Amino acid sequence: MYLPTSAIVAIMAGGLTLPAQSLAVGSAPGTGHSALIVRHVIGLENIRSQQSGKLFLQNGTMQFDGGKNFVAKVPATSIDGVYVGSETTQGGGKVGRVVKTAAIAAPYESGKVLTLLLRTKVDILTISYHDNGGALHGAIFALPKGQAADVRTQLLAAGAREGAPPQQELKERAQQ
Amino acid sequence: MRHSSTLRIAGFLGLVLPLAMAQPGTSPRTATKAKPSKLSASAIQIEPIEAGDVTIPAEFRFAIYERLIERVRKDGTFQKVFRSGDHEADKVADLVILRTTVGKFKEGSQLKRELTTVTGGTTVDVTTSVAARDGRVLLQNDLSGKVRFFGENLGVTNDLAKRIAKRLRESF
Repeated sequence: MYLPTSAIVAIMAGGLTLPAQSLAVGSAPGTGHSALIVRHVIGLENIRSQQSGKLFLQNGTMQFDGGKNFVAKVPATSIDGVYVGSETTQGGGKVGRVVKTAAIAAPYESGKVLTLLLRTKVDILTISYHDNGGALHGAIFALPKGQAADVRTQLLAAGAREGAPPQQELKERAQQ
Repeated sequence: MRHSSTLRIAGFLGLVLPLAMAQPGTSPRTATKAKPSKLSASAIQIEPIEAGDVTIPAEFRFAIYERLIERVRKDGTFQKVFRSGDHEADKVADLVILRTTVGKFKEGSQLKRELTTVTGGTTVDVTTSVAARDGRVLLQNDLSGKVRFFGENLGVTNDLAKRIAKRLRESF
């Protein structure tokens, strides 16, 4: 079953006007500090997966502000691992996903063009930390490309520990 | 005529029925239907993912860990689901511990997947073991998570967590 041509053209045009990079830099609420607009992938308590919000460091605490009541705070000193990675993903947020799904019905698989147009590269920041009860948490964020290394530097300066690279972890485990 | 056939059936039944009744547990039908007894525990502690000799990015390891906690809590198989290192878990007598070790990891490409639909899949193979406090292994499974068509590579962690949680649900 195919969509009418006019609908396909409208979908394609919509896709082209979507922002390629939906993550940006803003300012922390109530402060002059710069805050990154990030996507929370998973890991923070009481914050939904894929929730967007501001990530900033204030008074030695990493904060994620997703608006309304979606706020999470992690003291930098409780962080015992900061890892930076990257991922190619789809830009355009929820709208992009809807447009791309609708374009599946386009004839001759022409909807796949959107895959090329909407792809975007993001940095992945992973932190591991222990809460007051000693429980281990891992929080993952998608950041604008090239920003994760800066956040890592800021966290380390605020008292976070770097965390061992996987190979070193293996050696330590073997020695135990 | 009718009398002789009735006799023959009665004779056949007389021969077969005592045999069937003598060994009721060994009939193949009963054997295949017999379900293994379920394990029992009120709480589980989930340990972080061990990479073994495999190189797997930290985000994948922690995403599997977090999604596992989320899934097992949502399923309600256990009254309590503890994170690794949680001091509260020390007070639970019948606690079981879930350990996951990565055996193989292949990071694909979302772009390739969506353009070709046959290449670019991301897969992660793991061995999970559930042990009692004294170290006795109660359950061990080899499972794998995959992303074949749509979604980010990190989606593989969701698929894997779903499979592990299902196996726990079936066993407890």
